Amino acid sequence: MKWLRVGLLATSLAGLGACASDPVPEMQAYDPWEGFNRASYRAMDVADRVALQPLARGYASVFPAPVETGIANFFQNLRTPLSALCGFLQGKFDRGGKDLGRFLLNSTVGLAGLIDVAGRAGIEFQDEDLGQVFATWGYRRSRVLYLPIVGPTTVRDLPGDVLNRFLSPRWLLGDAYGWPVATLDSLSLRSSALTATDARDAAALDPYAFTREGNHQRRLDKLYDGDPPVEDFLDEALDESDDDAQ
Amino acid sequence: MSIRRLLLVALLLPCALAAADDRDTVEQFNDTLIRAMKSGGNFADRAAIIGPQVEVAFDVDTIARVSLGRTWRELDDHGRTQFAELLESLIVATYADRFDRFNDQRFETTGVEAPKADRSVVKTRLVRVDADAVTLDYYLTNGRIYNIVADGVSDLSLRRADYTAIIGRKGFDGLLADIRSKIAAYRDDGMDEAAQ
Repeated sequence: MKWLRVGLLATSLAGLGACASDPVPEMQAYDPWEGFNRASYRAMDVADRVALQPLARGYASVFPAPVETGIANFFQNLRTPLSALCGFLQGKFDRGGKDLGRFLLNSTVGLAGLIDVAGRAGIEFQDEDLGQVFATWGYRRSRVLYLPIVGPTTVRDLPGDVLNRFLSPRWLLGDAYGWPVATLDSLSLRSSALTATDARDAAALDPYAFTREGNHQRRLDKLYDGDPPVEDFLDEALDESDDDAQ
Repeated sequence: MSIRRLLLVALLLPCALAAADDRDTVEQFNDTLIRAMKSGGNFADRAAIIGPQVEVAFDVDTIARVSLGRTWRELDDHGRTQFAELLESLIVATYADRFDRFNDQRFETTGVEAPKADRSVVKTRLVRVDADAVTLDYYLTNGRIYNIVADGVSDLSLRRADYTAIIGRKGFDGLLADIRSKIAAYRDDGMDEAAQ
């Protein structure tokens, strides 16, 4: 229950934050705490390279791909009821219904979520969260935060990240979600992100700025259910060219 | 056929033809990526296959201008040309690095949209056997690609954020140096890969 109280407190704080939504365009990441965030990113990056990344690579090499997929499915299934609830809270009843159907199907026919039977039947995970609920309720813009363990987020999305990442599986597993299971969950999550972080490390000149922008756009993609408006800056650039020519 | 219908056809035909051309441009580029992967060659071989197609299909000047934002306006012609050439090399190196081995991947074109007269969006998917499919939306202006949005993440926005941050900390010369280092790193990785 202690975890529940922490989650609810964090949720309430985000609700208060909504009253002071930041005055920047939604399409741009708003990062007035960049100094703190960069320091936090650097510290986490060192910890990730020294400990978490090697462990995740080891995890990926030890378990055969089907086992790894089964573990990832199992933990995703534990997070599905929260996603369903967040879908309903946004009035997205079709998405909430899909998640609820997924959870029921995968928890039973899918052997406690190990096999994604629903996915094979075309019922995809909708990945709704509390941050999207707050956004639907009007908290569209928020300050960027980069926190140890949590990673890239915003003030608005932080409570949802904590609920989704740490509390949601614990609610369903109870005391069975102890350190060994939580560690397996963490390694599974980090392992599934290896391809993305490897691509970032290969491409980014400024990994912090790259991560911040990538996370901001992924959030926009989720807020718009996979069809966000894309800011291509082209009109702005063409206008500037016209100014140059005059 | 009434005059009104003829006029309508005359108005819509150029748009339809342009959309078909843009679709061809993207599909040819995607075919080139598959060909590079299937070639079984090293980094330099793949870059040699992809390079000419990037030159034809990409509007590198527009990518450069948008990526640099205000800094572009402050550059003279020499600086702009220098940056655009370096950016083109980086784009080729990035593709040669990422599309390094063929594992039954295939591209599917799922649709073409034309939000404005001189623009189109060609929607594609990269289907992979060992991972989820990736949606790749190609944005074209006047028949050439200037942005690619992969699973909702815009390449142009990432570049703009990345380059703006580097210019803020190191200046334009620092950005040029970092891009040169990045291209060299891709090349070195490619040599390591060939040596294995």
